[in-house]
Amino acid sequence: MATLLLTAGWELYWRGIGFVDHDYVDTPGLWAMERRRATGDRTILIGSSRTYFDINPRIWAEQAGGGEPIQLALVGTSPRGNLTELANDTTVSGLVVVGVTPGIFFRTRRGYLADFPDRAAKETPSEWLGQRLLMRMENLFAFIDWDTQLGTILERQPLPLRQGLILDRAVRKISVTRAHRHTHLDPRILRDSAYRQLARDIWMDGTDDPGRPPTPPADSVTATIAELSRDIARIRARGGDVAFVRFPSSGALRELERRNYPRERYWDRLAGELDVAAIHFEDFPALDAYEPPEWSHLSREDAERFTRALVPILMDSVARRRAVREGSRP
Amino acid sequence: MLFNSLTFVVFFAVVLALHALPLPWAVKKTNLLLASYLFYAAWNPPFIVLLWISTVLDWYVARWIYAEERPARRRLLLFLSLAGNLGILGYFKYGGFLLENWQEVMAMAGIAYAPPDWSIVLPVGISFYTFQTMAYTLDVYLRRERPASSFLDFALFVTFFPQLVAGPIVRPADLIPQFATPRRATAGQFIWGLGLASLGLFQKVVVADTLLAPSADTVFRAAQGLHPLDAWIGVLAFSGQIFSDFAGYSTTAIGVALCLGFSLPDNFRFPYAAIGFSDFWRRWHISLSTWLRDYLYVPLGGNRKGRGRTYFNLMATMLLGGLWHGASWTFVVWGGLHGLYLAVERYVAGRFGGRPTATRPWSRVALALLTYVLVNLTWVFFRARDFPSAWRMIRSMLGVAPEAQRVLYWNGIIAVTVVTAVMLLVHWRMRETTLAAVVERTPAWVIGAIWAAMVFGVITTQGSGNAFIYFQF
Repeated sequence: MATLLLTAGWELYWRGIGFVDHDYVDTPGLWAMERRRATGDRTILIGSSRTYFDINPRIWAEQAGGGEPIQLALVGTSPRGNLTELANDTTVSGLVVVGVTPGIFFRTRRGYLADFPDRAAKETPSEWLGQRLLMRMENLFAFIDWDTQLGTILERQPLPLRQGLILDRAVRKISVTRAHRHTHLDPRILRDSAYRQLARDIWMDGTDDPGRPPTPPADSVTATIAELSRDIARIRARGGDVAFVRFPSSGALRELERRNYPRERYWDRLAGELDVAAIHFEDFPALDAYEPPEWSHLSREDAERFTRALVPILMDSVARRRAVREGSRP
Repeated sequence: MLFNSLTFVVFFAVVLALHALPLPWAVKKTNLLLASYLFYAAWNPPFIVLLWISTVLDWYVARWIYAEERPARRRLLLFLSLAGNLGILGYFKYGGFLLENWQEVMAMAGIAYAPPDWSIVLPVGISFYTFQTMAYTLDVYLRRERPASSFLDFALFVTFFPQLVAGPIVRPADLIPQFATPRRATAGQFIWGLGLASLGLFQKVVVADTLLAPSADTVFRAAQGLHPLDAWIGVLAFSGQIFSDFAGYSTTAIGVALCLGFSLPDNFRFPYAAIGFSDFWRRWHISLSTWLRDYLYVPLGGNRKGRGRTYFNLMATMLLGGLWHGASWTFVVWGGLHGLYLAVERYVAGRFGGRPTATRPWSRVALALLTYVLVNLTWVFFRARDFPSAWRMIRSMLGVAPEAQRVLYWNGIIAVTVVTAVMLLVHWRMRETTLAAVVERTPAWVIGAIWAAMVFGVITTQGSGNAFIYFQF
């Protein structure tokens, strides 16, 4: 009885803060459920968190026709490994849309959810069932989330920094994830200015750390492009295609990206040297009209509008590229 | 499947329901056997074949040994069983290790030998059930026990899911007879079993995974020398983590079995209050230490063949005990250090007459703390990836590591310090008593409040989903 009362109080506390039920924790099991659907000519979305937040799969399906795209983006993780894995999968023959967040995409470290595909591939029967049971619990309880775990709460207690350590806070909950990993920005970011500012501050944590890894040199970009080129060729050989999208950012984060990853040294090389559709939001007024509230991700409403604007531009570019390629064949 | 998973909650509820149905005992045992296979197959279904091989091999070999009077034939049959069990264990657990070492030996001889790829998945819990089945055949060979009369009972002994993958390593005489007659938990046993399971899960998911593992992982992952405070906190964190993780599993296993009406032996008795190392090994992983004593140390001659041979037997037993934990020389060094400690303790005890146990309270506390600190030094080799990492950690703990860096935040340091202090205090207070005795004399409302807090703690961590450390052994 005491446990039930404590748990009920815990649930009410987190609901009061804004946590909701039917909001799924992004686990290897949840990713695996989508990965298993990513076969045939289905459109697949890979990338990091901006691909996850800024595309609304329902609007995409309305605009592009066919089914909803499969959401396989991984927050804080470069999609290059995912693209290689999809290129190796002979059952994948659709359009793969790759989100490019320069600071994540070009770095050599794959990112902190990079083990998801491997863990998904090795999912045990117990984990398979556990994921489904977890989702049943998440349908009932709002408090099931990374942010509400005891360990996370203890880790976030503000204590003085020890000499030599830098403030490197983990990203707070800024998303709500529904079935099929359909994700949108947590409304709390919009209505709570202090929380929004905290999210912005966390993006900037450690950016002035002298020990921060330097931006990748030009030769590593060349190697990245060669790797991408091989993966694209394999997907195209099966009738599929690949497109790249640079999603909006704003504020100090956009300035940081411009400074550390100048467009001409990174994005322009990728778009110019790979024969693919490559959509940078700055190149299209219809896509450059959005202001991510916490500098990195669009609000739910803006993501819907952005998707509505993006899909025709992207599909047209993919079709034109394909026509040129096929027209140029002997 | 993991005890700390939703899958297990559902699985156990179904098993309990089936066990409560008014069915013949043989049907209930068959249900338990099938549930145990399902429990194991939930990790990796093909490895269930290994369980079957081990079961069938030892069932028949033990019967043949029992019926055979000729010593040479008995030895041959025993060899068959040991070769089968240790062969499977060796192939899956030590194959890669042997190849790596063979490659190094060849390289020293100037021969470039490229071993084949040995990326074999280790079947979970293989060391535990292998030792359990070997104990059965050895007991029959040594004429300590008769072979089981029922194949179903024997198969269930090998496979019984509560202790299948991480012990306690149960002796045949302790478990097989329990399968002979119908068993169902009384209300008291059921509540006590649920309490133990709750305590075990609290130890695992709250103490080990949430409060201690992050600091231990950060420190042992570091590739540079560390500030002494960070190094010590990391080692203390791992020390508490491995106890809470493993004792948590054992306690949960004992509780789960008790809910079904079966009794499993204790595996831990507050080891960090040990005064000396023979005392430590009477309190830590008791089912393994007694197994090694009865099936290795004593057959080697124990302490009956002179002083020198006793020290050799001690060291050999602990070195093999170290290797049992993992296919790495760091585990061997861990076992070797414990062997050395035991040998030194034995020497000191012999030199000064009797056991080196002080009688004054503060002397006892000081000896217990010395034991704890020396045990912590061994954990460095147990946890470190390799020897350079272990030496770097030792140097960091001694404050002589070059360019020592801080890697832990105060949050982690405070958590580890508080947990370690509480754990040592609890172990010391519980040193001469048992959990059952303490619960008996504590008001029910206090026990209820602690129980509720533990379950709530498990809920707030939302189960870490991390595997138990000892599964890999």
